[in-house]
Amino acid sequence: MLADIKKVLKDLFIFKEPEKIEKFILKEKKSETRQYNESGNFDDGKAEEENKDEPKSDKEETGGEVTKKESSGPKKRGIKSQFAPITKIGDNKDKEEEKCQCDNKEDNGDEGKTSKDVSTMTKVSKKLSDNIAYLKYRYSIPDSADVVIREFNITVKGKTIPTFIIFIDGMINTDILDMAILQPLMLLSNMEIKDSENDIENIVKNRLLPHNQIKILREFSEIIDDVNFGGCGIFVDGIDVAFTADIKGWKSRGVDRPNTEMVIRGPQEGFIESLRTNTGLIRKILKDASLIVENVTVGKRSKTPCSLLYVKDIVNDSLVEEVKRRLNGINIDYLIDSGELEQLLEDNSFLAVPQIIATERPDRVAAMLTEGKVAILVQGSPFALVMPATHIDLFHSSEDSYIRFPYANLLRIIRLCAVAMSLLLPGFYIAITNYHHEMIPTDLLFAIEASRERVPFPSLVEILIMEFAFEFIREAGIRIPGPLGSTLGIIGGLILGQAAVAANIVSPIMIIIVAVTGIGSFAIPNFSLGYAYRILRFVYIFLGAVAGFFGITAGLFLQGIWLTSAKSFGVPFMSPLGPVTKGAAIDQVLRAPIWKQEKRPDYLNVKKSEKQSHISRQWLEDDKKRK
Amino acid sequence: MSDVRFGKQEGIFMIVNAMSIQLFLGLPRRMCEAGGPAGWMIPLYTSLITLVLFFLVSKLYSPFESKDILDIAHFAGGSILRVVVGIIFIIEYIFALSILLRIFGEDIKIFALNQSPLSFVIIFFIIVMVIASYVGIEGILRLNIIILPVVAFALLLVLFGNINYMEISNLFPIFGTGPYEIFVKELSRISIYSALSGVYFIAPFIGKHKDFKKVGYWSLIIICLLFTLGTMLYILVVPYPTSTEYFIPFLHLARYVSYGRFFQRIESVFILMWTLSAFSYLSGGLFLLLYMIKKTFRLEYYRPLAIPIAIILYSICFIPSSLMYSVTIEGEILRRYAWIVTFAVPIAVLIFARLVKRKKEGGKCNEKV
Amino acid sequence: MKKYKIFAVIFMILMQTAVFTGCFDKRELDDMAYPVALGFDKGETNELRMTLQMAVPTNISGGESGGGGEGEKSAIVITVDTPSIYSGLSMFNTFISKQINMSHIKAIVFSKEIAQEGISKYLHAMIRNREFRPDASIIVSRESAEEFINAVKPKLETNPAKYYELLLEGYRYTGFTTNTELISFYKKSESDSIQPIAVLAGVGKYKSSDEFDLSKSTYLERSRNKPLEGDFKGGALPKVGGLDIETMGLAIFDGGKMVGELDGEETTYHLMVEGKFNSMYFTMPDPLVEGHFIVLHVRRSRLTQKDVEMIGDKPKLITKVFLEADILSIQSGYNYESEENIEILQSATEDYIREGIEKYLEKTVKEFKTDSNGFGNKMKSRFLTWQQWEEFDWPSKFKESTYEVEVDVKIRRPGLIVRTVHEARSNK
Repeated sequence: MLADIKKVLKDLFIFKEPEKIEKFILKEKKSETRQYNESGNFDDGKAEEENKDEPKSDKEETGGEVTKKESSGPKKRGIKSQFAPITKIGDNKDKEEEKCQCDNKEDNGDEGKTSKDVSTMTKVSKKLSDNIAYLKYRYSIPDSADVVIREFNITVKGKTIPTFIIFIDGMINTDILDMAILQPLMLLSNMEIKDSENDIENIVKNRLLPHNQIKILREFSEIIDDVNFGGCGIFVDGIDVAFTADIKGWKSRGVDRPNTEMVIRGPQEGFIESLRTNTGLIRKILKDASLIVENVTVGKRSKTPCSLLYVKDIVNDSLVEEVKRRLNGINIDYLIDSGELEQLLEDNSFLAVPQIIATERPDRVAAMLTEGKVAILVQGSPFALVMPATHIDLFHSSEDSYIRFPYANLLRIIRLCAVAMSLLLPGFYIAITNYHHEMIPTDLLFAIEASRERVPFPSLVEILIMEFAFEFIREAGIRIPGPLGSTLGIIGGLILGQAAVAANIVSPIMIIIVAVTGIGSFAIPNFSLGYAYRILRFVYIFLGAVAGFFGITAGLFLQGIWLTSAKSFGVPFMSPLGPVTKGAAIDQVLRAPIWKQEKRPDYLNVKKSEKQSHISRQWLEDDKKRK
Repeated sequence: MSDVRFGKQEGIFMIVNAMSIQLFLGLPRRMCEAGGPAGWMIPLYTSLITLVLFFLVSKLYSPFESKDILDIAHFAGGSILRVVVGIIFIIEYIFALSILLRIFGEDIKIFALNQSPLSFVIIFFIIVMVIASYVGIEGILRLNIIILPVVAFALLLVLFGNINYMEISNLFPIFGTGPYEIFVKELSRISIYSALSGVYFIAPFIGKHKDFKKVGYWSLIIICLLFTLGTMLYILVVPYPTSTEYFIPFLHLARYVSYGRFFQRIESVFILMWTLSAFSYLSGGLFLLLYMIKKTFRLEYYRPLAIPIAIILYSICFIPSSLMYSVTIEGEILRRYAWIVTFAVPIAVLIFARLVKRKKEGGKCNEKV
Repeated sequence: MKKYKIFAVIFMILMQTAVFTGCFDKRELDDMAYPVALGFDKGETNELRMTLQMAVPTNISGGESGGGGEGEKSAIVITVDTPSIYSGLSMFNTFISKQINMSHIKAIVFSKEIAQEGISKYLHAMIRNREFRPDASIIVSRESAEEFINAVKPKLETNPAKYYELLLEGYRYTGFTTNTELISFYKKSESDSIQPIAVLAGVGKYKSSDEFDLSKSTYLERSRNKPLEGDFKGGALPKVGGLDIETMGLAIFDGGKMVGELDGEETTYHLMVEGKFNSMYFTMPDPLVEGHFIVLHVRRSRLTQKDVEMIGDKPKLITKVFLEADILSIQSGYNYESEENIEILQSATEDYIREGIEKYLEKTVKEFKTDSNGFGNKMKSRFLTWQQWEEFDWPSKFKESTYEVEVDVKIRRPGLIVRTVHEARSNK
């Protein structure tokens, strides 16, 4: 006890030498250690297949073959460090899989060996033990505890055949596993099989696996992909193919309201993270046989399944080609969210506005598909991507189609005003009060001046302070848990504003301007565009302070040039206003009544441009005829 | 460059914009100086003459579809003629752009940014011009379509706001300073339509000859209406001798607009809208200038030329020593003699090219036989 | 990496240039002083005596001390002797802390002496500057401008600018003043077919109602034994109350020089002839019963028709005025509302107004010799070129014109009472 205290005191007050042994260093790459062998094989490869692993590091592909010795490889670091004994882990199997067309490695001739180099297998072998060994090695089975291998025997035509299944616990629906796979295999295989099939493979597939999705595979990579995504691999001794069954059953949240796009009138379903459920939601709305849902896999390691949706009869083929080309050309490791996919697909990453629409509502995606656009759904993300997007699309909300014509136009006009205000109002205020004093009505001028008399900062600094404070509040409000969140918003706004005014740091009119601007930016339906304009607003404040209205005009012109020369998947970004295309007044800027919307938007060059006949309300025509 | 195409609407808007900025500068005043209360007649009849001239040009142009004037010059007289014609146009454009740049800058300085040095104001113009012409003509044209209705709205606002002050008697005496003064002395005023020369250069982008004709005619008609009505509005509000005093007539008209105690002195908003038009004109002008240079000297790219030419314009625009002097230059030299470059030179080149073509085709006919 | 280096270098150069420039014209709102009224007098020690009335914003609004309605503290008045307007501004800035910004000047006051010398030279300076409002009102004060501006202490509002704006909009519902903006004054002063006018104002001298006297009224000229409300010029009204200025009447200008004054009633007639008359309460003596008045609410029903006929070398001015009226008060109780008697009233009104207009036109032609009503505009349309118009020389021809006036009055409504019944007295 006393010794401990002494030790502690000593630690505190006496300089301590750095430790000799480092706690954890990322393993060096294989090329930096001595044992690297050009041929790619290892000296002591075969003996160590049963050894334990260390957890892989996240990012790098650590191919380090390490030994108990110090690393004294060609790129020796300064510190002599000792690594704990680490065994070889699965390394460079990719390289090896590419190099050796491993037909030869099938162990037809290796019956006698007890341990074999299973790390080089690519195809299913007829020997069950080899398969088990490979899968154990590949999944690092005793370490990775949720990968389960269940071995059992099936009896087919009197023969007892050992089999095993492999699945990942937590990703499968255990009921179906028991009922549809284990039970038939274990129990029903005892029944008489009336046919005279001698082929075990066919018997198993045709008779013994009453499940709705069975695939027959030879390559291990495909089997592993399927097992990774909620499948169950079934290996039968003596046949060189394996079966995979799709028994996905992970827990996901139920179909719930969309979080970001609320409407009053309209369906309240939003996408969830599961891909098939999402495509189901869209299929529910568009019960069209020409709605194509293509499968694309993005990400070399995450192998995220994505779906590409389009309506074949309507969409422009070159658009689909282009989207597919871009998707297939993405080389990344892990794709986690559709946001990343959006950034990888878009034309111009530096443009301030988004060029792809991300939405959470299936009805909106369905509506856009019917116009001739293309949608992408990503597994694990409740946001669907729709392309191409024009600037005007970013102002639409799905409610516009569901409510009546006068209200829809009112909402659109309000939104346009809100957008214009959220972008330009602080800039205009600064420009008017600093440069163009004659524009202010005299009463207002005196009111502003009286309230600003005691404020020590110039108006530019004032407005920057308030803007930053508002941004802080917004950002903080996202992360505050539950009930405190809304309270902080109100309290922060009111009290901060009130106190700031009372302390003569800002003038009250500034609070109003910042608040109106903030509210205006919330009125933008597409939150990505809201972010964009939040950034641009600062540019306009600065321009207004430098040169008044003239500076703001220059900024508007440059922004206009920037936007009009941008393209989103080949469609000019500012159509139908930029290059003038038909239909601007029909559905783009303002909305005509629904019986007038006969054509699809012109800028997409769709195959069938008429979507409603000229007389879409036949009952009205019949009324006329009756008279 | 060759895959850029735009329709006739964009072409019309571009030419209309290029010509309409004069309305915001000194055009009504000059018309009043020349014709007194009948100043509105001058744009009317000069535009009729210009229509006739353009008819002539388009007739001569018909076999040379979708070629611009430099290609035709090359076809007619080889490289030498092409270079000569190109240099003539380049000089005219540099002259016009730098004078107008100076005048725009001074105008802004007079009523918006008083104390700023002129170089500070013009640098804004230059930066915007360079960036816009760098991006390309498509962006400028598309933006034009959005800008022009805004500018038209501003004009209408000024029109309706000034209705209280209009007096019909200001238009009398009907013939103003006299028919001779109006019709004969001001004949060279067809140069106010000198921006029409832009249509010769955008011919390859427009494509069909039918569209080319439509662009020319429609822009002339719209501009005729615009100038006549604008001058008439100015004369209605401000009576004759006073109307020769105002430096920027439409600015003064915008100052008079007042609805109640609240909506007054909106000239700064008017500045905003008018400046958009000016930016558009300057960017389009710079782009055409670069395009001309590229084509005259058979260069590969035009984008690297943007910054050097902009610097040249920037330096040239400081040469006149005062605003009055540059206004005189613009009014007297540019707007009196530019018709030579816009109409005389192209007509001459076209006639020459037609003759050459006939000779060549005559040669072919002979060969066949 | 190389690309980023270049980019970084260019960016740094741009940032440096941004530091070298600046916002040259940026002037903070509260760094400037806003005068509300500007006054010009003939200076003793120099050409011009300038008076400025500056608003004090903290007292106007946002003043927790100082209270609302206290118009006294909301403005300060300063005077300086100076050669010209801009030199005056520089002199002001020797003791005023903020830069003077003239974009909110609502009233420009000239004293009578300066007006009689000619004000065109100051007008040109004001039009040339972008800061002056084109719709500032021009006022001619019969006393000095300094006195006038010092006397403006608004009681009903805190903001003197608002006081000016509202006061000078009174032409909409009275007939004793009109809308004289800087810009219309300027336009008219340079045209030879119409001459400018300005609001005539004065500073009242009475301190209590015991001091009222009629020495300055013009009713005697009209052979009345009691003045009507319009028989005064600004500054002569019998009134007290703390607000000392009075705007009644017009100052007639020839070019830029003042040549005469009109009192309230003549202003009404001027407005009627020019066509700018809106509406007013019109008092006239009862045609049938002596000593009582009839008050009508008179409105313009159509634009005045003006025409000029040339008889030989002399123009004849033909005016036809269209009015309509509602009965406001019949003091005698005579039943003018009935159908027979309404004709009497109408024709009496028409005669009364016609006489007034004729007297007014006589004054314009014979005494002032200026065409303030714009008859010249009608003449202009008869000529083809400007040279002919100049040769015709309308201003000199105007002096010899005769006139013919026609008035058309229709009485439309009697208010809420259709006929008046005499009061019943117990002691007859």
